[in-house]
Amino acid sequence: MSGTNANIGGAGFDSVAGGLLAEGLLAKGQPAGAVVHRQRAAPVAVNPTITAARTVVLVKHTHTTPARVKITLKTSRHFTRAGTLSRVVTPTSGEIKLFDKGGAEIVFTNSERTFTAKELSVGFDLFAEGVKASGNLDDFTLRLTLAPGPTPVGPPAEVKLTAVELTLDVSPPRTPPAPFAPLPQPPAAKPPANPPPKDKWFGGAVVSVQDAGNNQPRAQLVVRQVKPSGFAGKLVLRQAGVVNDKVTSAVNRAKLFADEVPGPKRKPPAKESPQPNPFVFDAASANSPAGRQFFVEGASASSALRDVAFQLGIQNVENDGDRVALTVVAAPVLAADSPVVVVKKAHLKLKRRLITARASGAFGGTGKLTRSGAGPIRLFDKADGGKEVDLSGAGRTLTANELSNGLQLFAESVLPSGKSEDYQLTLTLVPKPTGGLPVGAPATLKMTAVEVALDVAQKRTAPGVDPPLLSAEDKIKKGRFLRVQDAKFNSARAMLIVRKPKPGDFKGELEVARLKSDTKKQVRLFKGTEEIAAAGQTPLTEPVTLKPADFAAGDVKLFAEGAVKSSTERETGFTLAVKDVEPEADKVLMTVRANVKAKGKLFWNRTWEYNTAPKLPATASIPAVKEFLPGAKVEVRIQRPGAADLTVFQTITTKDGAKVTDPHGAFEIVDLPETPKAALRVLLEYRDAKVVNVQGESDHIAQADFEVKKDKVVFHQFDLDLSKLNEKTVELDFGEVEIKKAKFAEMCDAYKSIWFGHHKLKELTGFDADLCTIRFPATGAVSFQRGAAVVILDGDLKDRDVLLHEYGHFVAAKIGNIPNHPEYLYNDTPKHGRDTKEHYEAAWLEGPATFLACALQNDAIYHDGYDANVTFNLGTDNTTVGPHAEGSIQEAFWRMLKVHKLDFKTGYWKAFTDKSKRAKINNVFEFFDNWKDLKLAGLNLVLESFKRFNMEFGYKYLSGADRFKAVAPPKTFSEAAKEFRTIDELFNHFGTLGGGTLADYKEEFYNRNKFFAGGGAMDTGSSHTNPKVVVNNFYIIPQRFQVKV
Amino acid sequence: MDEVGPLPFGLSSEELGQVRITYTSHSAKTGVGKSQVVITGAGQVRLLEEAFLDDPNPQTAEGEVPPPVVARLLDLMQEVDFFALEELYRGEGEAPGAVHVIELTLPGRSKKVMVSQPTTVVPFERVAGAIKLSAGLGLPAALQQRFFQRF
Repeated sequence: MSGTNANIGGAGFDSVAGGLLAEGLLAKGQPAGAVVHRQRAAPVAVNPTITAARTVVLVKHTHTTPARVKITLKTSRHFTRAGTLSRVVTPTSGEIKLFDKGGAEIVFTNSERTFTAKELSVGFDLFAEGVKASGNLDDFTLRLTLAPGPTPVGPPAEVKLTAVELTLDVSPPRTPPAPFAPLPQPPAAKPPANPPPKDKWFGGAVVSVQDAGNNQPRAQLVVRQVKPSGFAGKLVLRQAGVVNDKVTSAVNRAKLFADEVPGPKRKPPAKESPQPNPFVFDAASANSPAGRQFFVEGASASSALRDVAFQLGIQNVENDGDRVALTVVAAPVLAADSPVVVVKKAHLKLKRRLITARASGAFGGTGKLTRSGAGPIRLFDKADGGKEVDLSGAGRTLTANELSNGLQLFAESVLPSGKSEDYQLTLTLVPKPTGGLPVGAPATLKMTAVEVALDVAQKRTAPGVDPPLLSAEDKIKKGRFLRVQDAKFNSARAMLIVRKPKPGDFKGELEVARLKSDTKKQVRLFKGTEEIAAAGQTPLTEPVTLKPADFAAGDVKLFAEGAVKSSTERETGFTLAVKDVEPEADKVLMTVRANVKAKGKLFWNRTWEYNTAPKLPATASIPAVKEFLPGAKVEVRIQRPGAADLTVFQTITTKDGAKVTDPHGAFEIVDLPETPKAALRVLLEYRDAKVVNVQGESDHIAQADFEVKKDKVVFHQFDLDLSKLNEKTVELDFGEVEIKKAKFAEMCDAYKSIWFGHHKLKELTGFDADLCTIRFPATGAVSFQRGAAVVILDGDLKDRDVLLHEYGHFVAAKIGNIPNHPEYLYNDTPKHGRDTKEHYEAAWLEGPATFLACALQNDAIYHDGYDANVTFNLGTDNTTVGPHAEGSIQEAFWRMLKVHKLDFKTGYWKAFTDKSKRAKINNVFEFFDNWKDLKLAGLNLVLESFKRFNMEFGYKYLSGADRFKAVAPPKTFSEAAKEFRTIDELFNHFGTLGGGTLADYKEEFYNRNKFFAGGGAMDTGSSHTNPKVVVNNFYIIPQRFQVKV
Repeated sequence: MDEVGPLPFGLSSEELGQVRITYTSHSAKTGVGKSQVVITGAGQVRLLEEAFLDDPNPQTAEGEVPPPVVARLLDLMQEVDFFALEELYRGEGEAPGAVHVIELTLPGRSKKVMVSQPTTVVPFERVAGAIKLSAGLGLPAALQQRFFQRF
């Protein structure tokens, strides 16, 4: 670029008088009074000058009026010749026209124009106007050349100009995705008013006053790429008023933004501020084929058409590079807090959706609100109640006031839409008949009535069977009850069903979440595949968002379980939200209960009397006596979630006390989950493997609910009556629970008989007997004791006396008082009765056992009534057979206890069990001796009792090395040699004490030798009345004795 | 009389009527009486059960089996050499058990074998089982009742 005073010439001599020069010099501060020597100076050249106000010349559009650029042509001093102005252009120079101050275009001939010496001497002003943009900067040159002559002239002066073209386009607001459509460039001349011009200046764009919801679309301004593209200045975009097609001072009816979509409407929303007015920016930011976009929305309505302009200029150069016109108008606004109306539910109070109809800016006309579509949404004039707004037909007219203030309507629906957005509202502004400005396009609001539901199922009635649902009312008013899930996952989960939204094409998302008010997190959600709780399952993160694709297969199931106990009913639950629309479109209330604490008492009805049982085979019964089951193992079996069978939930034992009179039979089940079915499996097994259990002696009964299996504990299983168990139950008293299986009840009774014996014996003596197993059934003719078991006949289950008799054997065995038994074959007779003679050992086995049975029960009656009909009365039988009869023994003991009141523990029991004097008691006389040796109180009374039942005298037996050898005559009895020839000899020597008879002695001799180890074999034809010895055989020798204090 | 075929123990068909087979169980329970099956050579079957020892009014039931059944029972007793069995088999249990007794009475001789339970003597048990079966043929109800429990 040339300087604005290019080539002003160097100092030199010219034709001007020296005085002038001097004057000029003085004028420059030379000292006055100086001598001026007139001498001819060398001629000074005259230089041409071109001065331009600026070198940028805006291209003028037909509708713009940028100021022309002043260019002055001059010489450096007076000049007398002409000068020539040349336009030095290239094909890319564009075009700049020059005008004189009168406005006449300067005409160039062959790109040259001659200016006179006078014109140049005083200066000639030209005015440049861009016609066509330069292709490059400084591409248009003006050169002034002075004509040569006597006075030398300087070189030509030049100025380089650039014709710059600015373009600003405007597009009315669009409806995406349609592209913006820039308005045409204005015509060369203002067109007539009708039809209304459509260009960007005489027509201009219409934008609506933005509403609070930012629903009004923005117009687009595009600053096109500046020509030439190398232009690097700053552009300015300025909003100003327009009056009579002329741009006036700045106004702010519109707002300029960088983005089309208002910040609050973006996703995510963004803060946004309008650009300042004017807005200055680098031309480089528009330096692309697309230029730079701006967007405009209305701020306040225009008072006339096209009363707003946006001008594009160059900062500090020229504002009117290009311009567009705008008219800001009011627009109809239909705003809703949501276009989705959730269908009403009787059990929920859903708010109506608020719809506001208004004009976005000042508007003097009216509005028309109409509806279309078949949607079921209804509008009301109040949020609650009110009247329905009738939009049928022509719709409703809104006054200017209503449009200004906003008319509020309230939408609800009781039915879902048939399809999305099937209900449409349209608000149209109707301008005043005359003089009204345009209005924004009708506003529409498409709405959808959506029906969503969250259902909850009741408990399943059976695995695989869909559970019934709680009614819409019950799920709120009653709620679903859950139990706190336990560590073993015994509690069932509740099925939640999120119904597929209606209409089916609804695109919104639903959310399921625990009630916000539930800060304790009482419930938790699981996937639809996790109905059955199990380890490793993770609760879903809430809210659980369900997208339309999740409903592809229909409703969505979830499962809820209790986690923390509720403080009050319906304290927790789940809500179903329509995301961003309705936080509580439906809900289900829940209450989490602790598991149940249940209790009851197990009993059976005993309809038989131990001591008066009827004679076989009669089964006469007595009024039922409730017998409660003590200390037994009970498996609580429940139907677990998802299972068809019952499995063990808890193993408990029925209550028991130290004494037989202590309460017993009660049971307690803690943390019992709510289960559709529960059963008790009663196992006849006392806790901790003590006291008693009942096992099968053989595989005897194999019923589903009753089993007697070899070596297994007998059980019976029966259902619990859960009719009192409901969802609210936390404590459940089953009351007295009857064991009804008849045979099992008999076994329970047998179990209890042994329990009774154990506890009573412990009460009386402190002796804590080991576990005694009842094995059932005994085969053969008898119940009997075998080791740690008593093997019981089916017919003896109900005979407590028999059971305690056998328990007596069990106790004796534990004590170690079981002698070697010789069978009940005394005198070769297998009969066995209370008063039959048996070997001492056999009588000793039975007598104490029967006595113990009666002593424990404090009852003299011993009765065996179900496979026999045997009754003893220890107090009155008076069996005087003596020590060979168990009756005599048991009656003597009974007398000691009941008549002589000898203490059971310190008397009988001490003598029976104390091993300090002898390791074992083999017969009743050793019992006497033990009493005596232990110096127990009442020995004389013991003796009296012995005497009363003919047990003062008895026989001891010389055996082993003390045996005698049978010898033949002439040998005879020799005590020293331990030889004898006849039994009479032995009797005379050993059997006559206290009136002993020979017959007794022979009987003793026969039985002892025949049935005991070491006995001598007798000759053929021997009997207990006539034993025959064999010479040289050794024989056990009875020796009669008397018990004494 | 049904054809009985050849008889064991040298019995003639005429002597069969004098044969008596008795199977008795004496309970080990104190005071409980016996249970007994008697089968005669003539085919009479009698069951007896005492509710207590020496019950004067025991329960009884009577029936009949064909003489060939008795003959076959005798065949079995001969086969096991009943007369060679010991008179007493001692009990092997911890406690005295019931005593089972089978007695065979033939013209001019008899044999009683006692087995104290729970000892098992195979020949004895074979005969005992045959007696029970034979009795059941004559008194089917006996098989269904608890009578034989004592055995």
